[in-house]
Amino acid sequence: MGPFGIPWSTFAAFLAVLLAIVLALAFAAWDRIREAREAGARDADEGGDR
Amino acid sequence: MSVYVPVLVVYLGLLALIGYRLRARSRDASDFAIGGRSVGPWVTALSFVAAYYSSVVIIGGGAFGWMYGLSTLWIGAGNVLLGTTLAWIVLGWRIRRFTGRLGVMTLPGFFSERYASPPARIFSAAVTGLFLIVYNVSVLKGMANSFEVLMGMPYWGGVLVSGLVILFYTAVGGYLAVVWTSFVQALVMIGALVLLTFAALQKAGGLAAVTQRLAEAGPGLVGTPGAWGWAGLLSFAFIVSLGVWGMPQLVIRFYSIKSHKMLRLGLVVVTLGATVALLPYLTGAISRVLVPALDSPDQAIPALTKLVLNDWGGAFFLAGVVAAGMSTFAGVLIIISSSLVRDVWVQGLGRSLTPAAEVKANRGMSLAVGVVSLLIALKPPALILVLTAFAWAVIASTNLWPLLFGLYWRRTSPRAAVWSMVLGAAAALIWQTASRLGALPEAWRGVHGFMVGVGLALVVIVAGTWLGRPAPRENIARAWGESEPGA
Repeated sequence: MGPFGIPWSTFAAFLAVLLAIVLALAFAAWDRIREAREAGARDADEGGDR
Repeated sequence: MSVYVPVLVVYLGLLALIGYRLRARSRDASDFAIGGRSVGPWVTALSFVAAYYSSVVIIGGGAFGWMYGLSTLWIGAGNVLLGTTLAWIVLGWRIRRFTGRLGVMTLPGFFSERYASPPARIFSAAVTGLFLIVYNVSVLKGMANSFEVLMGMPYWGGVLVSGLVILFYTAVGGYLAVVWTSFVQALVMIGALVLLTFAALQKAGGLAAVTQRLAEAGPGLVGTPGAWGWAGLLSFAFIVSLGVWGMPQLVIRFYSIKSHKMLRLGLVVVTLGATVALLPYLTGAISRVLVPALDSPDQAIPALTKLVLNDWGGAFFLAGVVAAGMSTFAGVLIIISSSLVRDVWVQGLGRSLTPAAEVKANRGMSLAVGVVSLLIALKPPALILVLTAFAWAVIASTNLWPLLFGLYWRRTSPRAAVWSMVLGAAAALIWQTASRLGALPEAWRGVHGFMVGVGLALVVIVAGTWLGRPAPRENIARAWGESEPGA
């Protein structure tokens, strides 16, 4: 039995929603880092061209 | 009843005012159809939630919770994880970039430019237009039923009151009015569901007490898959979650957001907002404990509302249910009108319109389509009621794979995309019809037409692409943002 007397097979639905929130935060953070890296690489290229 | 009237008058008046204030912001077709790609992350995210969850989801979700118990929470979880978070991650970024580069403002327009295929545009526009009108009739019917049950208003009154307000703000304010009113409606809907859930849990003595009483009420009301069984539960969760990926009124939100950077905040906001998907199922299960004797499971949420909320709370909840329906109806209406004007009239028939004339045409079309939907909803013919059960499956079977493959697989063949649309839609339609007529073997009747249509469409697009030719290089290069070789 899980919390509130709910079987784990059902309580896992709440955990799936929690997983969605963690996934959203992680993807947003990863996208931000990726974009910063790409911008950095572009700046370096442009510096080299000069 | 007396409390309901002022709450609704203020609420509907506010929505009409938003539409009126935004009337001057639609200067060309892009403004009218996708808000000139100027919508911020909060409004995009919460209007997605409002368009996703209609009043049918709240009342119907409650009915499922009442019938099958806590295992139905998995449907809400599927809506959040697959229907929202993964839909944004997989589709959002690419759709925003691709549609910006291709300069398109509708889903059929995307098919046309990505695949260089006018047949794909025409077929998608025709199926989307026809079946979204049918879908809209069911949404309008759900709203009018809510007015009827919660407020005692005659059915026709519910259709006219909600329908006319939507028509006004959609035709006058265009897409921006639709998303801004949907933003307000999402807040009302979320607030109403949270209020009902807390009041119901308090009345029942907490979640642990609900679980215990459900277990006593019937075997299968607490565990998963419970009384519904794995096949029924999983296939329904899959239909109402993956189907979203092919629904134009939802994917249009990715066209209209200001920039792909704003999708990051939007993704977090939409995921948090979408978590309310659990609540109709949870409150439905609680209502099984608090109102165990009902004539129909559809009465679960209205009966629970009357039991646990006072008049003001009930009026607020009715506003939430109406909000869910109105935002879905308006979102669909703007999609149909912009698709008919841009994809059929301007692109398909080759009529040239000035920006101002195209806005006028869009306004006229949204009014015409809305009036037709209202008239049908006032007394829906039996055929329309049957078709409402097919609409979601047929639209998703048409659009889902050509959209997804068009974003990720360069080689995807235009012919394979068109055949995938045609055969997927036909399979969903034929399967559902045969199922209704009892022409399918007993063991197959539980399989929904969505699974058949989407499954066949997937096979066709993959096999057809291996055998066929990709779209012209120029179209692929434009979509992927690359300069053409030798250019």
